[in-house]
Amino acid sequence: MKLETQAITKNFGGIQALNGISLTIADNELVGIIGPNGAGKTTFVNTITGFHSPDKGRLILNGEDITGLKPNEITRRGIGRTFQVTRAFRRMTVMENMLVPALAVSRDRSRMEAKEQARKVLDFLTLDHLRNDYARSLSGGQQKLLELAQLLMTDPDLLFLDEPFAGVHPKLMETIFEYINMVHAQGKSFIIISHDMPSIFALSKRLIVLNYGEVLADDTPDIVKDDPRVIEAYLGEDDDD
Amino acid sequence: MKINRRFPFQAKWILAGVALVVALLAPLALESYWLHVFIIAYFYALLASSWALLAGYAGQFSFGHMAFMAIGGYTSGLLGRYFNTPPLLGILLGTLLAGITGLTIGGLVLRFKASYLALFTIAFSEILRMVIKGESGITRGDQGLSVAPLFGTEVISRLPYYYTMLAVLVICLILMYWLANSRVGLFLRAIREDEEAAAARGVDVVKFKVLTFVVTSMIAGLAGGFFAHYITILTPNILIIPQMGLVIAMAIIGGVESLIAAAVGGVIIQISLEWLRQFEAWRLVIFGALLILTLRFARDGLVTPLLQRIFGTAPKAELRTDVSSNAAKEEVNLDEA
Repeated sequence: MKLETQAITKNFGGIQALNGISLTIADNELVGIIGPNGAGKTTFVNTITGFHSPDKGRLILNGEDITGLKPNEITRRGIGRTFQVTRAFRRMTVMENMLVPALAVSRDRSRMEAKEQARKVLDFLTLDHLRNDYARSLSGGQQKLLELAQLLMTDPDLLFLDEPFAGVHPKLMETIFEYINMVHAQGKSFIIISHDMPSIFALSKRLIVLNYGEVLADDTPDIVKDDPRVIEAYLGEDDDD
Repeated sequence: MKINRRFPFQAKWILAGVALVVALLAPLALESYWLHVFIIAYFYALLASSWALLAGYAGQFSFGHMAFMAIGGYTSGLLGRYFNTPPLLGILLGTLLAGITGLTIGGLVLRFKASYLALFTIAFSEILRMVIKGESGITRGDQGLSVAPLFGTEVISRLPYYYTMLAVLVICLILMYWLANSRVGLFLRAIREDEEAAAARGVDVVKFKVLTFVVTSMIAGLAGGFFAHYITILTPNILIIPQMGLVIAMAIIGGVESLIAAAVGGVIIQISLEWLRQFEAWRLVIFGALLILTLRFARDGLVTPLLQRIFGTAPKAELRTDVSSNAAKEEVNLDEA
């Protein structure tokens, strides 16, 4: 899997949310994205996953131009995502939530096969005992786990996680860490957006800092941490407080 | 909340079988007038259940259902009048035209949010009504378009119409039930819950919304065709907004997220409205009050909770307890960990 963003630009009215972002995400990378509020992190994810069309620039996945494809077409090509605010299908059971992606991306897969796979994933994420419960009856943390579980049902090569640690109990955070490490070990790539600095620094092998829709820094966490531009633009904010 | 069934799964089929047998034997006990009421009730049940598939399963709120019904009815009526087309062929062509119109409207509007569909279909319905009214040279306008009876003028009995409408209702319900329980139904419910999340999970949202819109438009067209050849006269008044409101009310009072509940709602409301005729204008006040109370106190309708009780699915109150208890369980587990 190789994803290239070539000079991606996105404007909303007079606001330039993304300003010529060019990046390459290689196979089996674990990349963190940080940046102050309004830096363009979620817009970047939305643009790559087809929820926004870029005004300029191209998106290349494994040599194929995927610019302007619909979200479901992007998903079928192996890019999965979670949302900043969890968006499980609340009036459907946990198992039904799992079957939707499983059956949507593969017409050949039978319901029985999909259920078997779903139970393995749910078991790993400690949700199997809740499979017949409605998603709305799960706690916020469990709904986050369910969203992560749904991702695996589409067998993606690249997973975008938008604020996976926000508002999660430390115990569930451990489960999410385990999930990321386990799936990463299977050769999948991750792009994780987070405001949780300890977690993102601990997990990422590469850290990208966005500011005002531009790439401010792109290096290993140790180097990014000491970059004066980053300290000034983002990490320094806390020091000032 | 776990879905535990006190009855075996087959119980719903046994109940459906009993209801069908009752419906088949009902004419033995019904006078001709009540036979007519039931035929109209089955017609509305078909409209209410197909609207429920669109609104309750796919979350798409349309005001155009009566317009598609009218397309089916008027197409068949006009073809019969001007080209001597046999009623069954006319109904088939009317159904197809309703589907093609649904495809055109769906393709134009369903890539936007649900409110656009509601506004668009109100406008479409009114335009169609005005065209039928205005083109009276062709459609006979307010004077009414005479339509040939389905079984010819020599058949006076309402019995063949009763069984035909019942058969059409049952066949369409089976088709819609199959669709709702297939992977398409699963995707529709995901779309209803959250279109963007469904798209992110790989569902082609626009395709499945349009598919459902076309299927439900065709069912409305089919209902309109049989209705026209039973009632034998069509006027633009069948398209007025209160008529559409009646279909929506039937689905909501029955239970919009269940095809069977919406169909039962259609039958019960139509029969109740006939029975309430003795109260003259007050019948609409009673009906309106019932609708308001249902919307306020029974969001799942009146028939759905009844079916839930029969089949042992938990009511909402239980669910609320379960939500808190589930979260509480998690807290305990985490604290223990």
